[in-house]
Amino acid sequence: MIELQDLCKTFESQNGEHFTALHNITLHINAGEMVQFQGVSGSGKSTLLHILASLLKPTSGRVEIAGENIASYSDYYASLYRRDTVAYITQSFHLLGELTLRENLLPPLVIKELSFKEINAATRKALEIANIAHKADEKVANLSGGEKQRAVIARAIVNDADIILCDEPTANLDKANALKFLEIIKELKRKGKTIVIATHDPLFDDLDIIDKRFMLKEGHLE
Amino acid sequence: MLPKLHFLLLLLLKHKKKHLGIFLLSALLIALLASTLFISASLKKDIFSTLDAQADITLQKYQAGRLMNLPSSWLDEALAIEGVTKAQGRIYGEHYYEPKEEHFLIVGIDFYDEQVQKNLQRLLQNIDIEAFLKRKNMIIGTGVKKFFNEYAYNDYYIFRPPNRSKEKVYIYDTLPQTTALIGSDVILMDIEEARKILGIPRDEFSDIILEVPNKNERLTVYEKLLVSHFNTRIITKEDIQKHYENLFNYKGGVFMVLYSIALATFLLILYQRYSLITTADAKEVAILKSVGWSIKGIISFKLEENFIVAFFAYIFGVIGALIYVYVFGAPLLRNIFLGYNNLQNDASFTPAIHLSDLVLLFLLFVVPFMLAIIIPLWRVAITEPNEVLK
Repeated sequence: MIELQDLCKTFESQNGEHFTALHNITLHINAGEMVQFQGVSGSGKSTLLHILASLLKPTSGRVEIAGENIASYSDYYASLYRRDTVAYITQSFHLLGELTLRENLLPPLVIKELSFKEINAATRKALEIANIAHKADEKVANLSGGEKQRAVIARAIVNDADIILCDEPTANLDKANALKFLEIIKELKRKGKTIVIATHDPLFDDLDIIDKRFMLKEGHLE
Repeated sequence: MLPKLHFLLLLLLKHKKKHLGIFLLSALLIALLASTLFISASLKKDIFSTLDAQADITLQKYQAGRLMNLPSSWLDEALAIEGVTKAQGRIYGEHYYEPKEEHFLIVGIDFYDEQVQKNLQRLLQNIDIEAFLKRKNMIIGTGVKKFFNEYAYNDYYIFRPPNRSKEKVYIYDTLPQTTALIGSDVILMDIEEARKILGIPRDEFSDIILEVPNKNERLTVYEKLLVSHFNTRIITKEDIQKHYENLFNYKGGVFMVLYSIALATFLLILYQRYSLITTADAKEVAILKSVGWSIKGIISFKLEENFIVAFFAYIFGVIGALIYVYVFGAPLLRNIFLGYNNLQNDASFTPAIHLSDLVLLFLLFVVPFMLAIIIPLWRVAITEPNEVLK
């Protein structure tokens, strides 16, 4: 499903200095697996997830998703990939604060040119999976941290993507909400989704549903 | 409504504070230019409808740079020219209205003349010529009426001719508002009465008007008149129309230059305003990109969003201009356009809206607006989302 070969990412600062965030990463993730990337802040976890989400291009190497090298995609094909194949859950709750939760689920759906009926059906389903349907018409600015996280999950899964990327998903949640998140993630795994979680939260350490764990240290896979 | 349009309107409402300033400034600019166009079109319409009833050629006598009365013998000479179907002497002159220290223009007309009757009936539908001529009557312009009323001359006014007699003339009617642009200070009365009040001898006229129905012959008639009397001034209907047209085009042109400067400044502000990529902008773009929006999709969506702002600013500006000009009578701007005759002009604006003007205004505003923001929008759309999405 996901195949990384000699993946490197180097950033250039404004004063011309180079910083390599990822060094020759090679790994394989099967469809339906749940994997965890561990590592301290700055180890390259988020960069790796951005590359997997096609929000960032690698400096070198291959990123194969279902047999296609997404690193070579133009902006248009990358956007189609993000729309149909991958869902991205961030640690900060990036939502459109002035809109309601239901309205926040519109951006991924309107670009698919669905009808209102189809949009309503997809929205209802995603909100139910994320266990936040009761807050559908609430402005997201009025939601609690846990509810915002579930709103982000609902938006991420509304297009029924096969791959779900989670970047420090429990970093801003209390334990009760973190456990709720785990329940949702387990449900998604049961549905056959491929889930990639980048986190150093100890909550995930003993989780038996995680199939593989990778440790990142200063951009190297250990 | 389409889901995408629904989302577009939601975002517009979300960004209402951001758009409000641009919207108001745009509407103001549009209103300013639209008002100029409406006033100009309205004045032209009024002038041309009034001037249509004017003589084809007017002949005046000048001596030592001053306008003189001309002898009645010139009437026959003019009538002898091929192409001239009618020649008529006119009597007019200024009357000094002491209470307000203003001058009115007394115009004597031949009420027995068929054409004059037709023209008058076109201006005043209910005029009864017979009743008018039964006693000394006059028809006054709106400005004159205003001044007469101020001093309670509601029914009549007593003129004092140069021979120190008194001429009591009754007010029969007031000229319609549409003629106020050039007839505000006019008093129309019987030609013999006007002659008496102005002290013009029986064998003289203030000027002569000629009817030359064939437009192609007017130039020949003009040349012949010029040859026969060197000390004349010959004015054609087209000259008068051109004079007024140039006057309003000139004033409209000055406004166009001012508008262009204001528009250029506005576009610069717009460019700079949209070049500032705020955290909120970057976050919104990052969210849209993360859920599958392409750069092209974001740019076109943002263009649509701003097009709606520009379009509604245009609609509001035009409606505002319509109300400003046709309901409130364009305070401030009216004085610049109308200026003064003898009296301050109190003309109102007759609705004259040309679709081509509105289309031109739309293109002159919306197209530069969209061009000014396209590069800043592209810059926002290509913002890397990875820093924002951490």
